[in-house]
Amino acid sequence: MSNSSSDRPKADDDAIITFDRVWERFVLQGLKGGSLKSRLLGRLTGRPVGTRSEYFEALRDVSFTIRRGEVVGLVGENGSGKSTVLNLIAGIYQPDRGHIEVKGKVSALLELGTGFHPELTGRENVILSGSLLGLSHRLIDERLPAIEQFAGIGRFIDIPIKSYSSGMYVRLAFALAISVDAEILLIDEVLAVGDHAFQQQCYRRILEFREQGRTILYVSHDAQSVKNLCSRALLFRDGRLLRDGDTRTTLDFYLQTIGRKEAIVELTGSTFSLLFNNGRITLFQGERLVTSEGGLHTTLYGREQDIASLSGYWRVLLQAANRLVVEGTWPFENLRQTWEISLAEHAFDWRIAVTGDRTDSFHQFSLHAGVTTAYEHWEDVLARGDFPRIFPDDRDRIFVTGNVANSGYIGLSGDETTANLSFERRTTAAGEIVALSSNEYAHPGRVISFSDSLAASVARNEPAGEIHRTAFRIALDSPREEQAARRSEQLDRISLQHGSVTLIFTGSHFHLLSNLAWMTGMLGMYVSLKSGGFWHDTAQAWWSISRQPDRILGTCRLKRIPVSQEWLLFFEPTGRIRWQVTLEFHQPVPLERLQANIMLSERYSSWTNALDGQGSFPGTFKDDFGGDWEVISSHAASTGPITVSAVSDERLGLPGVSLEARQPPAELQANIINTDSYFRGRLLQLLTIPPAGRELHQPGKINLVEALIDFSGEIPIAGRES
Amino acid sequence: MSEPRQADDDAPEQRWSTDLVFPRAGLFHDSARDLAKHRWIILNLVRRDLKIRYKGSVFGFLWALLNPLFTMLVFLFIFSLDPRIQGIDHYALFLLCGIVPFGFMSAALTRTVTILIDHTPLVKKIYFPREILPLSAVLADFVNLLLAMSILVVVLLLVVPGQLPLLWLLPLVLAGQLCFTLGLAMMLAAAQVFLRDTAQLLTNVLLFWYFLSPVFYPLANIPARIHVLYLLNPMASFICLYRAVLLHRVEFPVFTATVAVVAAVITLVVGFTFFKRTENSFVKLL
Repeated sequence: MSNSSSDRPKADDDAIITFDRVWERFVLQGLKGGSLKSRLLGRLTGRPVGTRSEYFEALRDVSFTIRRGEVVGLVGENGSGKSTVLNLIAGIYQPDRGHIEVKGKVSALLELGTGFHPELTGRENVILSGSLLGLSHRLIDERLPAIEQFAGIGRFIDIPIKSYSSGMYVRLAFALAISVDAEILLIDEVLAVGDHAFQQQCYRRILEFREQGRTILYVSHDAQSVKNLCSRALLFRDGRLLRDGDTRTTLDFYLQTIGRKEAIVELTGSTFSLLFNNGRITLFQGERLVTSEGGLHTTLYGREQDIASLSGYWRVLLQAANRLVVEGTWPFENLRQTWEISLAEHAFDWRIAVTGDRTDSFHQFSLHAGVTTAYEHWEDVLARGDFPRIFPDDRDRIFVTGNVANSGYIGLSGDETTANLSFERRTTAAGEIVALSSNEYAHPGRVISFSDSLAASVARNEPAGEIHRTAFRIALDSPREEQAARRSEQLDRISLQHGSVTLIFTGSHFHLLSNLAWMTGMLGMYVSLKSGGFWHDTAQAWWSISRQPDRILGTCRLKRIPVSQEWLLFFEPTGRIRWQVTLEFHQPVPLERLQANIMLSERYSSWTNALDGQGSFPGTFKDDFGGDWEVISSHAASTGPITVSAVSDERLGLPGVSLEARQPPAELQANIINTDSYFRGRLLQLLTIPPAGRELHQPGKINLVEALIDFSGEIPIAGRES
Repeated sequence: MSEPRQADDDAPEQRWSTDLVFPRAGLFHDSARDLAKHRWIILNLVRRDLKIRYKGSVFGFLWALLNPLFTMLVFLFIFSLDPRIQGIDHYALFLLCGIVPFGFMSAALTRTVTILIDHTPLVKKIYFPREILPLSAVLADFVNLLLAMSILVVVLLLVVPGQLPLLWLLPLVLAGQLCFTLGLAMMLAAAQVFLRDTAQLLTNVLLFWYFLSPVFYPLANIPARIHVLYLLNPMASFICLYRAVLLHRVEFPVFTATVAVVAAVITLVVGFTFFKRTENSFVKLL
């Protein structure tokens, strides 16, 4: 009889199974029903039998309610308590503490062929075991023909089952099991046995039961079948009911928590929690998953192989309430990666160090952040946008193109229920880029990949043994003002501003903006040189910048030839930008051309070349196939001041841009170029052509140009000084 | 408490509530209802047992009759040479009145002591009132006992002319012994799970008990001053009672009857309670 104590929760009328704070404990095997000897000896040697340490808590404080007609999946690792729950519902055990109510007949498909005796025939076994399963004689007689037919073993039903093949045995047992009239079905991984055809049969029959409105509890390790059958899932871990919710999210959470226990740590912050699991970080906003399948992980790309953080052997070096230090090792590659995670309010700092002895086998380090499709909008220091839409049948990764200025700050947001998420770089390294994409492979989500070029570190002579070092700050649900502050902080680190003009470094290019409208085109401000017949430009070089209070100092190293450059940029009080470029040749190289360019956007429609005249940019090109660089105006080299400029339509509100070189160190030529090579743009160019005959440029420093960039739009035509 | 739904008349309905403290007031009531609902299982288990035991044999179930019959014939033959031993007429019949009941108890207990362990897969996979197992085993042997008794009565009426005025009390004695044996069986079956030596101990105890009961010798062989003590052994009392109703050898009728009744009731109650109280624990140990 159940107690009707007043402190029990009022039972739902529709509730068919109720667990109320159930505990279940088992005595461990070694001392199971000991012999007289062990019990006596036990007392003599002072080792008491059945003390606390010998107990195994199979269920701890488990409570849940299942309603009539629900199909619920029970998932969890082995030993987590799922089978114990089924046994309790079936009545095989009674709870040691707590209260269970089961209002309906239960049929437990915990094992097929229960009660079968090998000496008896199939038919006899069905009749006898039928009663064990709760069928009366009358019912068994009624259903015997149906069972025979379903089992499909023909005349073999009348021979002892010890002669059956395993397939026949299982078919007969199943045929009997499903003919039971029970309102509640407990299915414990029964589908795991049997051949494929049998599994299909089982599956179909279970679907039928579901249609009939029976209540089904289904235990399985096959996440797919759980997703297909069940509307609700209960996740068990170490005897506790960890999650009780809809199948998809519960299973996703479960998959995140599978792994080597020794390297799984959960840190809980005030607004979010972080789960580290063997090389992957999963973020939760309360109960909700922020990250998607892959979570946050790193990958090291090399010539021979790519190494993902997920594949390493991880250990916890330090674990505190707010801090975690973990180390992953790859013994065969002699690689080590250390993560240091410190939790703060709304955010956590993540410092990564990769060390090993194969410093030159890897060329790229990436941090991949997979987040759910709840995040629809992105923003970086300057721009904003939406993620590309995912179509259900897409099996693709669609990138956000253009306009992502810089990888120093990326913010993500969704609707009101989605906490904003931001990624901030805490280090500047050469060759940092970021890629944003929508991903529909297997698990839809958004992927933000921060990639660092490692060759650049080599070029900069990192300490031996250190492959890479980087740090990020990831904030979740931080207040808007704080986020805006961080964003502008990042913007500051990479830009200079004067009035309405902003000079910004986007990782490989310098750009100019006016009131946040882009003045420059795709390539921005760049220097290119032609050496040995090939072009090399600073857009493909390894950069690092140093932002000082009033200037930006940039150094870069060209990738394929031993040439590096130093740029100095700052705003003069008048609002003009002074741009100084110094080149250093480390070895003798051939040099055919050397030029400094500002690529302006298509919106610039007319040009002026101080020594040559004015004009407007043509709308068409020589041919339709693109790839053209058309020199529209060019004047002879001179050592005097030269200026080229362009203006756009007044209505567009973009200031004119002029590029002026005073007293250039060598003879400079000024060009105006129109291009539609990949991207349309208008080039203001200052170039120098070394005299023919000189074979190789000798090592040493040269000053390419000391230029002034003006935004007034008016330039002096030949002879007039401003 | 709302009425549970019943899909089928025979559907066993389950209610649980456990506070680790005392046996619930409704323990027996519940169990009785449970058993009634699970009567099919009892029936089927008994049938299955019997079927298996005699499967493949030519005479099959007939052996249940033939076995005791042959036993009696052997005894009668052996002792026909000198039917009078120790001052008892028809010593063979005197023996059989003791051997048959004791044999029943011995066989029943020996079989049930391991019954839970033998049926481990069944117990752990399906719910049914576990007391059914010892119950059905004892009942199966009881059926044999009834058959043997019937034959014995027939033989008695043939060999010993004259009435047996107390014969009508035989069913009562049988019932009493059944309860006693059942109680012991349940206790032993549960105990065996915790202490696996129980089965071994039982064998020796039964042997000892055999000779402590007046199977081979009359009560007169025991010194008078310890008759009371001796008769406190329930089997001693039962056998005396059997002899009373079957051979009209009435000795200490009131005392032995009292001992028998008390033993039967107490053993049944204690055995059953022990079984139910430890049920959850021993199931986990199986």
